[in-house]
Amino acid sequence: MADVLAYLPYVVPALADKDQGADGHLAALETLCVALPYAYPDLLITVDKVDCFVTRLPALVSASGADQGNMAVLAAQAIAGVVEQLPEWAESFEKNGAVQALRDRMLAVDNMELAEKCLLALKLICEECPHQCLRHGVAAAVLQFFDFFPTNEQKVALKIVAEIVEECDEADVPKAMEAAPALCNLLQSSDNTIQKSALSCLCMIASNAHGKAEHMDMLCELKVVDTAMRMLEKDGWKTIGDENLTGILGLLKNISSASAKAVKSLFDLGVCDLLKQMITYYSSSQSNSDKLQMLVELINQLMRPLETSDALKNAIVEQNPYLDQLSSIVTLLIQVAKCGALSSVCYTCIVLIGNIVEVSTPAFLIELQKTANLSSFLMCLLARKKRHVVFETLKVSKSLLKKQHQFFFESFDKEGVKHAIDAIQAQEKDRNSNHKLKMKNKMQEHCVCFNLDSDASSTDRCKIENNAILNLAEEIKKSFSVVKASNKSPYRLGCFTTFVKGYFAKLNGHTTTTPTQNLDRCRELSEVSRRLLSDKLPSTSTFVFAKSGSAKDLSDYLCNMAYLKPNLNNRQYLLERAKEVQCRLQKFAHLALEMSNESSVKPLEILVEKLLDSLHMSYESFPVILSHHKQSTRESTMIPLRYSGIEDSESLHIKFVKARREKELQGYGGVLPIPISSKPDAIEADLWPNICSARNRQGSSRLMFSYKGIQLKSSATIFESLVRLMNEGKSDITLDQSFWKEVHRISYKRNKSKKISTLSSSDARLSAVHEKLEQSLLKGPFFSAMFLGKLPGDVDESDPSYNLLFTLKILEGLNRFSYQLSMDEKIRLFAESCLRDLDDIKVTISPIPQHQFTSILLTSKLELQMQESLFEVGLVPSWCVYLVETCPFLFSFNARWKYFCLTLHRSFMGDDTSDPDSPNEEDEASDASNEAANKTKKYKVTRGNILESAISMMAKHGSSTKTIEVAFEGEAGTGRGPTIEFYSTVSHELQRFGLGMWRGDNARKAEGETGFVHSSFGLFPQPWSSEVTSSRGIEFSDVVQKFKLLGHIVARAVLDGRILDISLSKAFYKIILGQELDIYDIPSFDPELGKTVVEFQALVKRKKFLESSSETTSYPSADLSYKNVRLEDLCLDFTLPGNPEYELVPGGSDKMVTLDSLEEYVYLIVDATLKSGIAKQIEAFKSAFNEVFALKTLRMFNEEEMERILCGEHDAWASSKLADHIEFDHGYDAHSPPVVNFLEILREFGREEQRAFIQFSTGAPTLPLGGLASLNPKLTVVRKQCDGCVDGELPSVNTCRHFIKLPPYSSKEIMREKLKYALAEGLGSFHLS
Amino acid sequence: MARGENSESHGSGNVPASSPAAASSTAKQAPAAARGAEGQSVVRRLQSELMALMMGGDPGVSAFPEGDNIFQWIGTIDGSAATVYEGTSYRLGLAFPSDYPYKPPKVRFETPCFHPNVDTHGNICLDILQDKWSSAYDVRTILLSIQSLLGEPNNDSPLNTQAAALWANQEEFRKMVEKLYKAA
Repeated sequence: MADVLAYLPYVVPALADKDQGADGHLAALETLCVALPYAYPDLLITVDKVDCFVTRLPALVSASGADQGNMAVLAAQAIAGVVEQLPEWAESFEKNGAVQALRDRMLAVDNMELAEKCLLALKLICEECPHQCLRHGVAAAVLQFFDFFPTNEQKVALKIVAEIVEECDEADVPKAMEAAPALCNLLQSSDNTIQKSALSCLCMIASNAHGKAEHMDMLCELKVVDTAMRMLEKDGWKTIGDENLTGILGLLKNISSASAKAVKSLFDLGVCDLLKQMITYYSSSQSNSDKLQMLVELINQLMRPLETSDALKNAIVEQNPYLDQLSSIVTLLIQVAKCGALSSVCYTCIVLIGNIVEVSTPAFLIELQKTANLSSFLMCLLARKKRHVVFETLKVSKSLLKKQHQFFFESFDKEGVKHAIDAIQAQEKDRNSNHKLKMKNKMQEHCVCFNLDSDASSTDRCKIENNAILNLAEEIKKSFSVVKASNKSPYRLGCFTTFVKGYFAKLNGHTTTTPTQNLDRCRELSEVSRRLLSDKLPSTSTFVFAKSGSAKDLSDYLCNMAYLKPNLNNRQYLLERAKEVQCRLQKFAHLALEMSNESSVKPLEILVEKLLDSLHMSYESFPVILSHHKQSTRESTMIPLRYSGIEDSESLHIKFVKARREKELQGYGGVLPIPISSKPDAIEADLWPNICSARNRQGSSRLMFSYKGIQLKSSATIFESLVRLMNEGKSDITLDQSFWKEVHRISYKRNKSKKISTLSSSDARLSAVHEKLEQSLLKGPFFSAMFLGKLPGDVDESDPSYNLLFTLKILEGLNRFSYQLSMDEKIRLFAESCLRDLDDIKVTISPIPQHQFTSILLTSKLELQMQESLFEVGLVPSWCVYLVETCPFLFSFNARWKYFCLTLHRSFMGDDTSDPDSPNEEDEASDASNEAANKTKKYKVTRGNILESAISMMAKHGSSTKTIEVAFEGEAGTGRGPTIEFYSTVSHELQRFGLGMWRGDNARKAEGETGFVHSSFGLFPQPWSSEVTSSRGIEFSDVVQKFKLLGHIVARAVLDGRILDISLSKAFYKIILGQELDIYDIPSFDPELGKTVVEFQALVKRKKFLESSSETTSYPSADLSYKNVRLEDLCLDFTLPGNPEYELVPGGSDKMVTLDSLEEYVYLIVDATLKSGIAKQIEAFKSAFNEVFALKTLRMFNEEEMERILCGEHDAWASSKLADHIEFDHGYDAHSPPVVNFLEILREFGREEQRAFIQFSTGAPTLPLGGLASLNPKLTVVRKQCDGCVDGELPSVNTCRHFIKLPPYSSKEIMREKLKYALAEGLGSFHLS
Repeated sequence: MARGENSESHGSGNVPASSPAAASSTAKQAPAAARGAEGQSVVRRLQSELMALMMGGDPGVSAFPEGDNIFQWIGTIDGSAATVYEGTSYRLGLAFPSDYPYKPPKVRFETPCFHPNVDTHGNICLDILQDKWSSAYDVRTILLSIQSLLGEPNNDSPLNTQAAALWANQEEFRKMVEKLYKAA
């Protein structure tokens, strides 16, 4: 190496000497090129003082001649070498014409090697002086012969272009545009990376061109728009990746902002449909507010040329296809604004709608009102408090009236816009009168005017004058009075209200009569309800619905408020009321869930929709609180269960001061930093010892805190109370830095009023009544809410949303329990002989889908709140906690799952008392790459004795705060793969025959036994009599222990994000979720037994009814036969069906079931099956679960969702999506022939093979929630290095990184064969890694 | 699991002594382990059904326990007159579960039977033997139902598609029935 460098000094003179022949130069260059990689900057400087290299080398590049090719190659290489060492020389090279020389050489393309060297040299020079390169037309030049370059050089070329266009300024744009045609061609490239770079280059050009119409038109002519749209079409936007999508949208935005032509062609290409799909996707299923914002901005730019270019405006406004698109845009905007969690989004939308209204014709607007119901939307926005939104909405209302006065006057009247404007006017007047007082508060409103105009700097004054809103409102009012109110429009509020009241009065009267006595009334009633629910309700405006108080009427009726007396002590009274309420629920369930002939929508669906719409009007009741203004938000789609580290939690600085006139307490000096998650109670505990005097140490709830004279609520954190009081009436709150620095003053005084929690005492009384009730639904939290006529928890009942929430909760319960309610009613009808046959006991109504109860607005608010980085340390507004607990159905499952992960994480880490000592079996020799090593614990288990191992491990370490990892004794595998396999193996083992855990275990072994208990309805615990301690060789204590293990495993699986291979029944999940089961749950896991038991129950009821109604005890015995068979002929005794050892009463195997003892028999069977027989097992499960984390935190999910959480998604994968979720690396890309074969083979797999493949590659038989897409890390196929015969090798896996090491087999057949072999052999051990 | 296997092979230790029928059967065959735990309830019920069948004298159907195992019966059905099955007589096996009559017995043809709703192994597709089962049904109703099924097959959901296709041609069908019946 030193030798090479030693020649360097001689190179320079040789090069400098122009007279030296080509051979001399060639030799010198060769030496130089060999030496350069070893040289270092200082050495070069000593060798040469710039001149020689920078002047001679470019000349040598361009030197022409027959044999100059080789010389030019070396010269270009030398330039690259020199610039690499000394970047500062790049400029000098440029000045000496190096760029031109290299460019020309490249355009000449006499030889590929030369072109490559030139590219490299240009790249290095470009990095230093992009402007000059641009001016020399390098960008276009390097793309000229793009297709001839090998992949690597193509990437270099694109890098050069990117480098150049990134820096280009306005003057240079025309030059940059020269590269645009080539870039547009590259957009169609099949290579993903090339496509991506070309796209980003185009984006940069477009954004640097700053909306110059001529350039944008040109881009449009170059088919950029067409190409981009083609990339997005047909769900392309879902697959091209986030970065590309953002790029394309940005590009389209830039182009359409200035080019009317582009806008027109976008309309022609159906951009509206595309936007619709995307907005629907991002607003409902993904809740991605960033993307939504981007889409709305794109719409904004689409609309801009409409205002400026008359020609375009005329073209669009007067042609039907465009009009349709325009109206679908408005619909979209309304949709976005309605579910927009932030006011800024609503603001943008209403401004855009305003723009559209301005350019539209009256006829179009009328059409729009009919399809999209603009007025209702305006009313919704007018109810908000954000002044900017209100102002813009008023402006839109005004221009609507101007365009088509009479029509919109009527629709405003109907939809309540008029009413809202009146309210605003009054409010504004009021506001002006105490103007000074509120001045300070008002100034704090964060101005959103500027979100749309990027030019305007935020220092500009807000556009809304103080009186602007009032003036505008009055102006509109004046225009109202021009029109004579058309007499008695049919949508009058009073009209609807009277109807509703009358309806409930009728219903009320009806409950006291029995259907047998009064069939006519029955018919009349269902006719009235049909008219109300199916005919009237859909056409009633949200405004009228909300104002009429129908929600309250409905809940009052269903709760039987008419007879409500706060007399919970009277047990008899309560029982009667329970029956009454149940009766009303049954009636209403039938009316609301029965499909009317004319429409396919059930009345309940309409009702729920109206209720949700009304709920969304109280937008401000659920404010989103964000801590910093522009902070990086958390990735919204994926949330890992636990984080490696939490930043220092923010704390508030509070100065506690003694309230005036507070004599008993002492003062407290100094500022106390408190965490944002602390509630007043916690602070009180800290504060109390310091401030109390010796004589008043006792007493509960001793302090009252207040901020600026307003008392703080005990249910909310101090932080939240403070923030809300400081920002009163705002819908979304963003805190700035000063909030954290400031010291807040909170005063305290002694709490004199002794408040007793009325709720808990009434709960206790209710539970006493519960024992008397048969149906479980009467015992659930749903029903106690109805009993008390209020929602559980500490709520502000005066809030307008309260009644709506309460009614929604009742209806949700009614929907969920509709089967039980209906069965119960049918049995009653049978008992009263209205139904003759037992086979007539059938449920004819079906509930509406659960997702109908989901509020998009609240879900997106919660999603936004959860993206706040302080969420997990306690920045959780109390409405989130409250609604998730009491009305979880309002949120989508994904949102709740995220909420659960985030909050569970917090509470779990909070319990972190002391780490368990390092256990012996801990595997110290872990792989060093595991950065979360201190967050995980490793244990060894033996595969042969896995249940025993698991029991002892879980008993010792189940409650550990660390993630548990498992390795198998004697196997090399460690980390994620074996751990996942551990969970699925243990859950599998727990289903073996002979464990005595599950129903069906003691069924006679049928032919073709697999050794596992299987039930197509899911597993449910087998009842064990309390008399028996062992049966058929199974010790009951072992069974209990297994349930304990199951509890541990299930809890750990939820906590550590593992998946279990066990299909538990819905009823068992219900038990996990703390719900009571009743007789109607038996059919869900044992249909045959369930059906018979329910039929017996019906017989019992009929017997009772007959006995009570007729004085004589003689009644036709045929009525009481069991399907024409005498009950005694069934030869049943008092043992549990299928389990003769389980005697229901002592000596039960000799006691026969008769008609008279049937009631007792049914009660005992139900009790043994659902309660006493499984109580110990369930208790073991629950207590083990609670050792890990609190079981009740899961109650925000329902049983179907629990199954999704625990067992993952059922369908393995959609074959069309397969390629999107698998990555290829280390020698493979998506187009390598082995990969293409591999994907084809996977697509051809059947379900069993899919399952085996998933087990093989991830260690678990099912994929986590979200399927392949949410596998983390992503499934990656890499090339397996093989020495010798490739086709003799087997594929292998690395389950913890989800790597599949695939040898490049010579044919698809061989690959399939080897893969199948590996799947069959690889299962069950980790030796194959 | 070692535990599971243990319990299966030694389970017969827990046979209630009060059940003579079950007890006698355990001595006979190994899988009777589970059966040993059958209660008197089912035995009592099956005995009363046996009595009723013997006294009732329904034409064309009969059934009797197979050997001394009360849980395993052999039934016989004669093909009804004026159907393609006229003149045939089919043997069926009935296996009663431990939670009979809550669960239906497993019934299959032991004589090969060419029928749209019977497969080559003798399995029968009949709603009352599956989801429409009711505890009020008994051996007699099952056998009568199968007898009427012979004459009135459900061709919409056939187990034997060939038979379902052939049903329209009664003559050919009769030939197939006889061919299979004679082969047995």
